[in-house]
Amino acid sequence: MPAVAKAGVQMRAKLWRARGQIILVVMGLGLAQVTSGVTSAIRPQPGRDFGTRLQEAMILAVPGQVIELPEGRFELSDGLSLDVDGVILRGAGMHKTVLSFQGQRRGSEGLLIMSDQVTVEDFGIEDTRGDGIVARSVKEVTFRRVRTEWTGGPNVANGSYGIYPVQSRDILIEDSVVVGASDAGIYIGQSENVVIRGCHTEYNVAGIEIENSERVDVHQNSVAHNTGGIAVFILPNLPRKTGKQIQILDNKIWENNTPNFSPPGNAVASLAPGTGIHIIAGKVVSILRNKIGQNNTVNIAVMAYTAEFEDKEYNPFPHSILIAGNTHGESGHYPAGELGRLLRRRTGVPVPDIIWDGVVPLREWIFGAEVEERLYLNEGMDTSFANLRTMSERLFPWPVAVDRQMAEYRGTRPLPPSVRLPQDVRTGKSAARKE
Amino acid sequence: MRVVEVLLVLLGSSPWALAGEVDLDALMAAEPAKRLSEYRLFEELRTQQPSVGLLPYTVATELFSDYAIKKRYVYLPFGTAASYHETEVFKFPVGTVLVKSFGYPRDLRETEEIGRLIETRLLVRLPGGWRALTYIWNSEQTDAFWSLAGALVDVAFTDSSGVRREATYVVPNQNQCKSCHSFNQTLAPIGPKARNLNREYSYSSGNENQLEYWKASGYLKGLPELTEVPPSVSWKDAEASLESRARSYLDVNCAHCHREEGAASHTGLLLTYGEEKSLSLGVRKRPVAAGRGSGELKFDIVPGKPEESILVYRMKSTKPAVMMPELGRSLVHEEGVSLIEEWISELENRSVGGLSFNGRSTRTTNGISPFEMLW
Repeated sequence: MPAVAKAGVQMRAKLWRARGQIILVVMGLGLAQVTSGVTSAIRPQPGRDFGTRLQEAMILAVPGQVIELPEGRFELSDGLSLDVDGVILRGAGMHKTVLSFQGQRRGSEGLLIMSDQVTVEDFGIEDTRGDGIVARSVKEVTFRRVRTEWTGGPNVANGSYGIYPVQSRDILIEDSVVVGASDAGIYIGQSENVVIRGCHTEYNVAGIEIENSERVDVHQNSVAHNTGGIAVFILPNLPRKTGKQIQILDNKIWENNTPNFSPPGNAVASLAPGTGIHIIAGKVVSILRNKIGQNNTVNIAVMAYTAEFEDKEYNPFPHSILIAGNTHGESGHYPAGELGRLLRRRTGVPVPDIIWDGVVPLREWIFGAEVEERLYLNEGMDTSFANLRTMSERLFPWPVAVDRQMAEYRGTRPLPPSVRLPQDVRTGKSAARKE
Repeated sequence: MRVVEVLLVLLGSSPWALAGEVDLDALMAAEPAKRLSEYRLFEELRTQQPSVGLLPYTVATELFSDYAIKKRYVYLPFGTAASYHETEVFKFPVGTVLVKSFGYPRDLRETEEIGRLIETRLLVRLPGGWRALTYIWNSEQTDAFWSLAGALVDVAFTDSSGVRREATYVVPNQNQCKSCHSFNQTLAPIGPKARNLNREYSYSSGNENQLEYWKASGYLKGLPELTEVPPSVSWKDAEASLESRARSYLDVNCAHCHREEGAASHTGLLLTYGEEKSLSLGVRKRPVAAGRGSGELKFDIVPGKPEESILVYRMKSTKPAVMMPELGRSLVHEEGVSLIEEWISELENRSVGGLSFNGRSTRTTNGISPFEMLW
């Protein structure tokens, strides 16, 4: 038995390509189980009731099985769900295999993933009533070359999130496309160890949103025509209290000026149109080498969470935000939304490239910032900046001008290690560039 | 039944060895039976006459399922017993089967019998964990057939106020069972908890408290004195307080997901009967991932204002991605909505808190803003 078990562990690396007689590994137990007969791909046939056939295939799949979706456009009225580990759900291409949920009558999302080590790739999901693809409380899930799109363009009736891992870990989202989400295109909620790379997110309210998550690398994505490009928030009253180590590297964050079409009452409703990157209470966020421009309100805004909160463990202040080596295109000429109004009043137009609200705990306002909590700015000489000096403005009865000096923020700190995912380790892919 | 047991044991056999006994092997088999009859859970399928060993039970407050009548049964293999737990589902031994049949009589005013059977769901306790199955009844009502993909069944009935209703009843697919029956991502039962079972049932031998009957029948061990068992509150009990009725309703209709171990834990909205923090219960709590489901409202519960409360908005909806619960209903439970609206209306100027069964409650706390923070 031990020899078979060892062979099983080695075979696991080739599992996705194996045909014919294979050794199935029961995930997590390290045991090996020999199947007699063939575990080839399931291919649900197109035609009437395709959705039912596909859902049955997803229920009957064995761990590690491939489900191949045919080329074509399919209308589904019920959301799909997957609860089998290791399944690969693969279409013929994000524009060639299209699951349309325009007639969706039941289910809150297009596809709900509840199992581990799942890969979804090469298909498109359109017009779901709620979220596109949700992965809840799972490990090692990969989204590759998938598209979730609301084909009518920005609309408050569109679903909230395109690709939504929540309370999960070891998530890879690569080369995927999200268009039209009324909250966030790619939304990482209360998760850890996540890589988002090579994706296009357009015409969403937030192109990419990272909330209360830890160790997330966002690199080489194209984020354009959203209300706001990339949001990194830490919010109170969530089961996962905090987050840190978010790296935003080598992205293009351009022309994010779409009006905010999210339903009022959600956190993202406060995102001002024309925002490139918005940090609220983020911790250890590194923003490096991005091209950020043509955002009408501001390229980068770093702020505290300023609403009242009851959560005793919550820290509302941004800590250790490093902004370096970015190329800033023209921005801040038409500030909009509540943030835009504030900036118009405090900095005037055009709004500087980088804004910090200067909201700090009173101790810090008096004595200065702790090293591990401060802001680090290493941008080119022609980058503009303003510290809004909100604390002084609130406390002093006379007008307080913003402070545009960047010199005192020069400095650097070590970067957290790049996120290494089990999926990437297996396939030998390289992680985000560090230096 | 106990006398019969004793006699048969003396005669060298057990009640479970009689013809018409439940087929435990079929239940434990790797492949589920195609037809419900194969399990021999019922002596007579159409009338739902249970086999020996299959014990009927009821719960104090039911999950709303489009006004369907639901009949519940539990089977434990001979010589095994469930372990009592004060607040959570009892720990059931391998071989337990929980059975729930859903049906519609023609007129809900006239009967509480199940009428036309739609589906029978099973939760089977296998060695590796629970398995969920559903069986859909044929129109002849002679048998029910295992369904993977679920089904849509048109139903028509007269409701308890005399109104004629039509609905498309949804039989869930096998994956959807786990959407609600999920405790720390593992499939688990929801109903058989002390506070749901602690009530009387009219057995053939007379009325008796269910928990005590289970204990006497050998189905339950570890039951303390009834005075130590959490009391049962029915959402319909006019003698019970509004608070306990509303909390019981939320516990049963929402808290399978809206609890720390449930599928909606990421929202921070926690609605179990024992939840004490008013913010977790939704009072002045902002939505986390509701999207359009927030109905443009700002808080889950606004004390005194049900019309501004997202909770009520979602209970009143039947649209995908807005309605709550997400699965399990297609109609609005009007009586339940009224109860919750009344409860929220009365919340003004009252503290909201948990109602552990000794009646303790806690006050709301005050918020702080970063401008008031020293460090």
